[in-house]
Amino acid sequence: MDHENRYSIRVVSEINNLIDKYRSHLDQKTIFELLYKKSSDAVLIMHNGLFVDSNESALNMLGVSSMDEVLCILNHHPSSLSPEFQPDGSSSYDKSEELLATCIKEGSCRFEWLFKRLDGSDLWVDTVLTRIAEGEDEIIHVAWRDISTRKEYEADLMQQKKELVTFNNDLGNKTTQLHMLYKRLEYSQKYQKAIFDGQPNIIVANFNIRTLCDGNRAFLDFVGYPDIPSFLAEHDCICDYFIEREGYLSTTMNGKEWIEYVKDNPEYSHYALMKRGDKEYVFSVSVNEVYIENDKINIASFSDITELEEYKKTLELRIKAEVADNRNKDRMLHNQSKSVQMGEMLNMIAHQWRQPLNAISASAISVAMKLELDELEPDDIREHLTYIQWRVQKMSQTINDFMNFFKPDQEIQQFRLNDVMKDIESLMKAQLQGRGIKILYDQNNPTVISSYKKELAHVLINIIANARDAYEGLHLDVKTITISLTQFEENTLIISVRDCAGGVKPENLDKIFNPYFTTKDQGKGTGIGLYMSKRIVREILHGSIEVANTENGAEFFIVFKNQVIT
Amino acid sequence: MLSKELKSVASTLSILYVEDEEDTRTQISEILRMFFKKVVTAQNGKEALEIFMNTPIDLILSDISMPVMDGITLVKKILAINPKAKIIIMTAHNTDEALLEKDNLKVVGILQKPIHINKTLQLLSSVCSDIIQEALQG
Repeated sequence: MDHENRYSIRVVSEINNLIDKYRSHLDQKTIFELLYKKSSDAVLIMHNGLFVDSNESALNMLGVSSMDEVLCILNHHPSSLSPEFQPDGSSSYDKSEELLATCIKEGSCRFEWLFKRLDGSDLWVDTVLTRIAEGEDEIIHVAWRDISTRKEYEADLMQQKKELVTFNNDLGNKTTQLHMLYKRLEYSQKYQKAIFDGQPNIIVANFNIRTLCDGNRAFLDFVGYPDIPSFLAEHDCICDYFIEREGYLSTTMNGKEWIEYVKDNPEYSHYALMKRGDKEYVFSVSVNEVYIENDKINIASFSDITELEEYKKTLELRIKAEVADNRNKDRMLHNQSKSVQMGEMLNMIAHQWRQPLNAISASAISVAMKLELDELEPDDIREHLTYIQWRVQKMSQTINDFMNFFKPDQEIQQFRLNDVMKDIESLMKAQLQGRGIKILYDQNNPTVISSYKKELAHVLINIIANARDAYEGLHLDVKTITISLTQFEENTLIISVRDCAGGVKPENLDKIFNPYFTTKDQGKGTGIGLYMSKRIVREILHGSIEVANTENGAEFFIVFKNQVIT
Repeated sequence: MLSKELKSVASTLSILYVEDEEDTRTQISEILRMFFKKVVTAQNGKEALEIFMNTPIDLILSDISMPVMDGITLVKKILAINPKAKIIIMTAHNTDEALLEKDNLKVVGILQKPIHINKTLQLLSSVCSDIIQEALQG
């Protein structure tokens, strides 16, 4: 609009200048006519609402080429040179009348108007109406400027604007769709990230072999970096954290990168040792290879098994301690059983020796008394000395018997029940007789036993000694211990030892073979005898030992097999 | 001269000697015979009790561990019949003294086996003297 104003001002000042210049030479009318006819601006004159004159520019603008055509313009109402309706929808006639009225009333008026050229094409003009005369003869000066090009542009612009709006709307829809898709993607990424980060295991993804490209929250927490770029600024790979130690992964294993090594040896378990703060952590490591588009990604998972390992270690230590403890206990038991055997042996020797000692003593006293009473004869001396020597020889033999007996058997022998029982009787006779206990067995049992004789005798002695102690303090007319041997099938033998000493209390039947279990008075029993018997039967005779109560006593069964002499 | 002293006080008395082991019984009874007027032997408590009830006996010398009837039971039974009976116990176990005390059994002496001759002669002498003294006092 400023431009238009400036233009009008310039035209008016130009006209004034021209008027000033030619005033002296020409009269005002002539000047005006010249200006009017030759002006490059289109100018028309209206009289009483009709065009009555026009300059050349205006005729050119309307596309007039002949005088006949000029007649089509002059004495015509503007609406006859216009389409029926203006682009804003108003009637050309009504609107032109309205504008003329405005001009007459206001003195001037400016607007844009659509005319029709004579050839029917559109002509857009910027129109300035100026009232020249009033009263009956209304004369209006009309100035036109062709704005068709501008209008075309405007129309174009309009069209473009329309298209732009459509496009914009379309774009809006597309954007909304895209936004929703993006939201969904974002959600799915967040979801996946949450799963990734939610893993308690350390998970790292390496491009190819060495270069880390991603790691989860557990990884960042462990290495102590806020994010992956900060980690990558100082490291390439999680293997920078490996502590090299026997049995754990190191950066290169047998000349291979650790990831390759783990992948190539799936049959082994792999462990990595890493340090955070002062504490070393143990991880179980697994690697999976995945392809994302054309990139090979190795996903390594580190599962923290430090606690498990520590627990394993404590457990191992505890087991070791228990085993050592058990071994100690076993050694103690063995030593105790040795001393029990020694004690038993001493006890037996003492019993065996008591009588000969008394007899020898009495013999010596007898000689001494006779000498004192002057009754000693040379034959008395000879007789007593012979007796003493014989007794001493027998005592010496007793020691040899015991020493022999308590040496463990080196080999399997063949023997009968009678053989083993004779050995036992020779050792135990004294103590059993003193207590009125009788040992009963079938001396003619023909079954041949093929086993370790002394070990079997030990077991029998332990059981007989047990029966002997069970009889202690009982006033019975008959105290017997009955031993019998039965053969089952070809190789299975059962030796039963039965007493009549009241039996074992039912609640003790299960415990009788336990070490240190005893029902005897304190100081008398050690609880070792039957336990050692059970072990001898199991480990040397390869058999088993059981106990059951009879009507009036206990019965032990030794079940074992004949062994082959090697 | 303990032996002569014993011979003087024991030569009028009878003794019952109880011992299950044959050799010892033979040897000891041979020694006793050197001093006592009469020596009767028994193999166990049961035999000894029968003899005690049927034969006049001044003094009993008994072993403790014996089959059939042991010395402790024998002492109990004899004292039940005659609380003043003079009994000497011979034992190889020093724990047997406790068994006597437990049942409050009064014996005149305890000898450890194998016997020590001087202690034995002394004990026998003093017991025999007492028996004679008591007999004189009526």
